[in-house]
Parts: sequence; C-alpha cells; structure tokens
Amino acid sequence: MTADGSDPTTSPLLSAMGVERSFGGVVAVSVDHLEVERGSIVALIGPNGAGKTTLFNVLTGFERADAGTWRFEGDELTGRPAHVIARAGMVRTFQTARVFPRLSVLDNVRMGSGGQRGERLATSVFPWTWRQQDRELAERAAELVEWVGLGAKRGDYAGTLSGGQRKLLELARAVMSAPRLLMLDEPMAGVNPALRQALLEKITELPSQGISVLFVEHDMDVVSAISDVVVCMSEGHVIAVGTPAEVAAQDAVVEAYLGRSHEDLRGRDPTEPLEES
Amino acid sequence: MLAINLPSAAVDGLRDAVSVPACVYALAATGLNLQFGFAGLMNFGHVASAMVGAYGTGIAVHEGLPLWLGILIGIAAGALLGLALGLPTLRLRADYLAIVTISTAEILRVVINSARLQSVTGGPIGITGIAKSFYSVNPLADGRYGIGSWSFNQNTLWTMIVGWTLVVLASLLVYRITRSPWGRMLKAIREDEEAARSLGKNVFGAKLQSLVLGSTIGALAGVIFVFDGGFVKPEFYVSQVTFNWYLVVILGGIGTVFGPALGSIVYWFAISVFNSLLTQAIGNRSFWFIDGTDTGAIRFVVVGLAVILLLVFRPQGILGDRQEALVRDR
Amino acid sequence: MALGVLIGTWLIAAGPASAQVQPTTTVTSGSVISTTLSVGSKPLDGVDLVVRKDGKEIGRASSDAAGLVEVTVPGGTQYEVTLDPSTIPKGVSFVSGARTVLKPFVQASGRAPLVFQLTGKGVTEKDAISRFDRLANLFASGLRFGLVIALASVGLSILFGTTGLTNFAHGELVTFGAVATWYFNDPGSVGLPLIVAALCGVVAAGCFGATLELGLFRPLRRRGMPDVAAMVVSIGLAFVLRYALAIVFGANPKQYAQFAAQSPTIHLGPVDLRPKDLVVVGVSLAMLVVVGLFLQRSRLGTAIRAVSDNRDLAESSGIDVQRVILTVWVLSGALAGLGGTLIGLTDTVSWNMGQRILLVMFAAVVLGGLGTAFGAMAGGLLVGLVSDLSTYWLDSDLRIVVALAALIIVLLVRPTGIFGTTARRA
Repeated sequence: MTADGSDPTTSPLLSAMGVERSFGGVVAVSVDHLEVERGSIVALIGPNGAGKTTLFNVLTGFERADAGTWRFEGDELTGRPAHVIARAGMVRTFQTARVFPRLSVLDNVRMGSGGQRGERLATSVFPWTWRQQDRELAERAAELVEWVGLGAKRGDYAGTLSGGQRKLLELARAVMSAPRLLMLDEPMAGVNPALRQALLEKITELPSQGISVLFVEHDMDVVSAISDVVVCMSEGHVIAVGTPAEVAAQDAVVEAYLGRSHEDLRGRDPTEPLEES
Repeated sequence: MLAINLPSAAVDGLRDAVSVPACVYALAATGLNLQFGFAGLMNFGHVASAMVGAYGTGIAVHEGLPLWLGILIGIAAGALLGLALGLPTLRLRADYLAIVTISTAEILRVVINSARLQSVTGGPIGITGIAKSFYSVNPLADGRYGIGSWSFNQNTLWTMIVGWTLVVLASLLVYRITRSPWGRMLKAIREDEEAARSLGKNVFGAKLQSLVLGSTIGALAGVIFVFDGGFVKPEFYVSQVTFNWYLVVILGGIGTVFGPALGSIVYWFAISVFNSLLTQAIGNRSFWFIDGTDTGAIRFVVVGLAVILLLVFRPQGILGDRQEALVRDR
Repeated sequence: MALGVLIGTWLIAAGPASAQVQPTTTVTSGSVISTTLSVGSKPLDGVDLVVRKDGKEIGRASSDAAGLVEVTVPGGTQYEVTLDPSTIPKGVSFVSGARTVLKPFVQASGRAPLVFQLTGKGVTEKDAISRFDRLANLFASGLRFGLVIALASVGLSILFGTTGLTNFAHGELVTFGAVATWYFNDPGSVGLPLIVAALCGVVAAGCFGATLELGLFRPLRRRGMPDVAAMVVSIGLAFVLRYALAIVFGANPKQYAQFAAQSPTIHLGPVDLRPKDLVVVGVSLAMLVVVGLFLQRSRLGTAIRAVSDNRDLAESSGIDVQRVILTVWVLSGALAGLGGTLIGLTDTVSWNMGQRILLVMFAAVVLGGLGTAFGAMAGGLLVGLVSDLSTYWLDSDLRIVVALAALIIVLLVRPTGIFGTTARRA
C-alpha cells in the first residue's frame, strides 16, 4: 500500500493529471489525464508540434511543468529532478539519439545501470568494493549490445556509429537501466529499414521483462503492429485514447492529421529539423 | 657570427624540467585536467585555486600558526573556492562557467592586490619570509646537490622532493578515481550531460566533486609554490597562468592520467631551451624588429602558436588517443 | 651561478606578468614608504608621516601640496607608520574605525604605498557641492566608457550568436584597431590626419577580422572542430597577437599625434569635458544607431539575425551562412577596432589595451544576454556606468571588481542575461 492508500499492484504504473506547459504564451502541453498500465505498450501519436516531446520532457524532469501532477508506481514525481525520476524507473530516450561519443559502445551501455558502487567518489578509490559488481554489469551490458546487434562494434567509440545504430545503442543503454517504464522518443527514426522489424520485435519483448513502454511514433503501421493502447495528441491536448483500430477510426484524429498535412500519416522525413524546442 | 651553446641550453632545459615551478605546473594541470579533461568543465580561473592555496598558507604561517596547520588552511581554501564556484554556477551553461570562473579569479587577485588589504595580504608587495618553518624540517644536509650546473641547494631540492612526491600521489589518485565507474560517469557527463541525467546520474553532484577535487589539487600547487622562495605575490596569479596550464594539459593529452605531469616537464624543458637559445642568439644586439627585452614576448607568441598547432594537428597531445580526439560530436 | 638569481628566474618565468615587465633592480639600497593624504578630493599639505621601528623613530617627512609624502627606509622588515597628530589640520580626523597605525612589511628595495583614511568637518561642508560635481563627472565618464564598451562588444556577441565561438582574441581586435590607427596617424610612419587615419584603422581591423575567419576559423569549422576547442584556439590566438603587437608596437603606451596637446575643457553644468570626450560619445552613439539600423533594416542584417536564431533553418531557407559569418567577422573586427581607436583617443594606445577590457566586454555581452546585439549594447552601457560610478565609493583599482561582480550576480539571478528571453542551448 502506498501513502495515498492505492494498491500499487492494481493502480496504473504512470498516471498524470492536468499537466501543462507553455512557451511564451503558446500552450505546448495541456494534458488532463494520461495513464500507462503495467505491462502495456502505449503509442503516443500526433502531428508535428502536438506536444509529444514536450510531454516527455516534462514527465521526465527535463522541463519544468507549469501545472499538474503525476505519479509513478504510486509515488509523486511532480517537479523532481531528471536523475531522480530516472532512478525511480522512468527512463527516456531522445528524438535525436544522445550517445556518449568518446565512450566505447560497451561503456555506453554500462552507463545505463544504476546503483553502481564504483560511481561513488569515496568508494571509487577502493576497486575491491566494486570490481565484482562492475564485472557482472559488463557481462549484462555485453548481452544487451548483442541483443541490439552491435556486437561487432562493442569496442568502437560510439561517435563512429551511424544515426540508426545510435538509436539502437540508446535503446540498449536504456534497457540496461532496468526501468519499469521505458519512454522511447521515435525509436525508429533513422533506423535502417532492414533492422526495423528486428527492433520492433525487441520492443514487444520488453513487457515480458517487466518493462512497460510509452513511445512516440509517426509510422501508423508500426503503431498498429505493436501497441496495446494509442494516445493521440493535437495542439497539446489528448484528443483520443483507445486501441489502434479505435483511435484510427475517430474523426478527431483524422482531422488533426489531415488538417495539417497529409504527409504526417505516412511517417515523417527523418532528416527534418527537431519539431519542438 | 652567432655563438650558440647547445649543451648549456640543454642543461638549462633539464634543470627547469624538474624545477619547483615545473612541479607546481604539473600539480595545477593535474587538477585542471580532472575538471576540464574528464568532466568537461571550462574552468578559466583555475589560477585562483593556487592563489588561495598560496595565500591561505602564506598568511597563516606569517601570522605564526604552525606549518602543518598553514598547509591545511591553504588546501581547505582551495576546496572552499571550488565549492563556492561550483554551487551557484554548475547549472549554468559551459561558456558561462568559463566567464564566471575567470571573473572570480580576477576579482580575487585585484582584491588581494588592493592597498586596503595590505595589512593582511601584503597588497601588491605580497608576503615574504614564510618558508622558514618548511626549511626547518628539511632532513637534507646543507650544500649543493647535482652535477655541474645542474644542481640545487638543499632547500630547493627539499621543495622539489616534496613537490614531485605530491605530483605522483595526485596522479595516482586521479588514476584510481578515473579508472573506475565514477571516472566513466564523469566522462559520460562531459560527453552528454542530458543523456547522463536521463540514466539517473547525479550530474550536478559529480561535476561539483570534480571541481572541488581539482581546486584542492590546484591549491596544493599554490602551497608548494610558496615554499619555493618563501613568498607570495599577487602578480604570479594573473589569468594568463591558467592558459599556460591549459597548454600543459593539451600538450600532455586531455583526459589522460599522467599527461599533465609529463606535459609540464616537456613544457618547461622546451620553454627553457627556447629561452636560452633565444637569449644567446639575440644577446644584447638589436635586430630591426627585436631586441633583448622582447624575449619574454616572443615566448608567449610561441606558447600561443603551440596551443593552436597542437589543437589542429595533434589534438591528442603526447599521451592521448588520436582516434578518441578525432571523434566528432555530431 | 648565484642561487638567488636562479630562483628569481624561475619565479619570473612562472609569473608571466613579471616576465614581460622586467624587474628593475635598483642599485641604491633602501625602500620607500609612501602615501597620498587627502580629505575627499582635497590634498592635505604639511602633514608629517612618521616611521618607527621597535618604537624608535627612524624617518619622517612632510606632505607636499599634492598630499604626497615619501620616507626612505632600509627595508626588509616591518615598520610602524603613523601621522604626527600635531601636524594634522584642525577638523581633520581618521574615519571612525580606520587604523591610525599601519604596520607594513617593506621589502628591501621595494615600494610600500599606504592608505590613511581621513575625513574632515571643515572640508565636507565645502565639499557639499563638489560631491555632486564628482558624481556628475563620474556619470559622464561612465557613460563615455560604457558607450565605447557597448560598441566594442557588439561584434563579440553577434559572433557568438552566429558561430558559437566565445572569442577570447576579441581584445586583440580592439588593440589592432587602435595600433593600426596610430601607425596611419604617426608622422614618422604614414602621417595621415587623425580622422582619415581612424577610418583606415577601422577598415584595417575589419580586414583583419576577415583574415582570421578565412585563414583560421573557417578551416577549423570545416574540420569539425568542437566549439570548446575553437575557444581554446582563440586563447592561443590572443597570446600570439597580443605579444606580436607588443614586439612590433613596443611596450610603451603612445598617443595620437593631434591629441598629444591638451585642448581647453568645456563646462556643461557641473561636468567638465574635453572636446575629445564629446567626440568619443558622439561617434559611439552614432555608430551604435547605425549598427542597430543595419541589423534591423538591411537584408544582410536580417540574415545575420536569422543565422543567430537558428543556423540550420537559415541555411535551409537559402541564406549563405558562410558569407554571413564572414560579414560578422568583418563587422566584429571593425567595431572592435573603432572602439580601440576611441579608447586610444581618451587614454593611450598600448599593446595590451584590448586585454585589459576583455573581461569588461564579456561582462557586457553576458549581462545583455549572449548572442544578442542589442543586449550587448545595453550591457556595455550598464557595465561602464556601474564601474565608473563605483569609484565614488571604492578605490579605482576595484572598478573591474565591481563590473565583474555585477556580471556574476546577474548570471546567478537571471542566467539568460537581462535581455535574453529564452534559454538557448549551447
């Protein structure tokens, strides 16, 4: 039982209420209610500028919320710093993959794991306190590098990877952190079409490992293929929630896309500049 | 006909390469490397840590406190400076940190230099005669040590032994902490702060730790410098010194463990040989654009050129990994 | 070789400031204890300075009409220095809480400048008007200084906005302009009239900016050098330029030919101005307006602002970014050079004049919000005013401290600068 009396095993993994954020008078996000159930894969869709990335940023502590509260595993996380939210089990990736260029691929993934004893300055001086743990984590990291198909590159600097490979590396790194909720911002962007199917399968495996997924995606085929629930945003608001088929059938959703551009439904050009800043 | 005496220049170089200033530079650069090389913090006021270290010890010893306490005060002053600089500024952007740190260093120097503080800091004149207690614990017998003109008196040698021992200890400490998950995290923060934050790393805390530790090592450099001659003077701590240390770090290899110490030795050897040869070549003659008093200026031109050429053609320095240095951010 | 000389050499080598200015070894033994006695701005004549060692008087001298008094002592030890109370004029006393006995440690063959804080009833009454005068004059000089700083730092700010480079060699652009003007003006060199020389100097500084871009920074950008490395390169460049200028121009400050003679002062209410002060204020104001109009109205100015806002977007909308950056370098060099020339008018031209105001320019730019031209203008004005007005209360050598402290405080309270609106990502 948590402080407010709700049972953590039945209450939603993440629930957000009245989250708002505006930039210079322009409302970027105004979400009345959003929930992610345990073990589900939730897709967040919507036209460019709908506020999807801003919502990610706010929920994960990378941007300040003007109003609203959100709970994760029953714990209030509103307004907490980004690293605290990540440690609580809510880990996000970025629209343009952010890797550590001058760290090897393997070391990038090792950075994912939390609770490393050797990451404390005081104990880092005594290798015998952390060496065993570090070795185990390195093995787990190596498995994950293989899992995303970067095994041949494990010793290379991450800065030498292509954009799509960086996306894969970022996914492995995020999974390494053993999150309860993985928030993927356009995981397919820039990924080689040949690898897409494999990547989709990896994502669908995640709930069985105890990791729920909330992901932003433009490609409706991808969304229908793997998501349990689809949330559609437009101009900062959530305008539809439901199964992929339900949402696709709603007039509001079609209008939100068609009202702006027909291209949006067919996925966006990965080379175009960042949508929200 | 120019009379160039190469062996004499080489002896000058070898003497300066192991001198107390070289070991002061090695220590200071080791601290700077921890901040700039590993954590990516642009501390352009690093000279201030050596200054507060030197003045902390100098004033304490001058006021009659025991030597060990004076040294502790100097080191603590460096740690406090790191804390005071870091707490408010580490959330700012990298280039703001650069400007705030260089500004703080200048403010401290001007204040210490101010005639109104003369009774405490000695103002522009500084404080002299503060190495007696350090020399009094010197176990070496009086005399000169070394071969020919490559030799030192007992007090200089004593300072050198203590100083280089500290350089080795500081380097070993840096080795330990940077070849650990903490060091990996620090590098990751240098590479991409936001990504590190998204993985639950306490970016602010790690940056503050590296800033404070680097400043403490910098303060130690200042303390050693006090014992080389026994006085402190504000004019030793101008901002240009920080940039010399940057050169030393770049020369040795940014983000390498033993680079700063090696870089300092090479820097002092090269500068000294260059100086000797230049002095011999110019002597007291005047050329159309150069005369004897310009040797100092020429040296700075060379230092500046060295920084540019190194960054362009050998960004990895002596010990760094070229591949790593050439990785593009985007 | 004497050990003392050895240690001396090392220390000098380790402290670059002293390496440039070779220490003058005075042959005559003895040190000088000196002070200037005054109440407000009025010097005190005929007051005796008494120097004691272990309670025994070893030296005494009276202040001259300017309030200056010097006592020569053997040095190498600590002294007690006081003023002889019987010689202090009636109504003059020590500021409450100020030390009446100073105990400086005086080096052998050194100088020990001291400060006695004095106040006086008789003098303060008379000073009631002059105090206002002084503030007014400080305001005027702060305004002049601020306008010049504003002018010189606009380029620094736009350059950061368009290229991301924090240019530590900007001070040397200032020096370059002043020195170029000096050579064009010097009767022994080119010998042009000052106004023509200044125009040539500014053009030369603009060309110099272009040379740095084409010869150094553009190739570095092409190689993909990170911003941080480019910033360190600019520091190396600053070293090279500064000391090359020192070698070519010489270590001594110089003045422009036509302004070596003092012109009559002009009285504007309580403010005394030299004609050249008016010239400096007029030229800076006019140029700031021109630059402002250029950025707001002209096609090129709009392009510069567009690149500053979002480089990728500007590039994709057909703006030739490389050409814009080259323009910014020319502008940056020319404005800095003009600023240097104006400083050379009111003060002197010297090899390190740019370095001396570099931090003040950074303060101006950051105060206004990095990357914004108008912010830099306002920031410059503010820094100039604040630092000059502070000398009303503080020693003038603390001017820079006030400017930099203002910078730090503003950054901590408002990290985007006074006029910066959104937090730009580096």
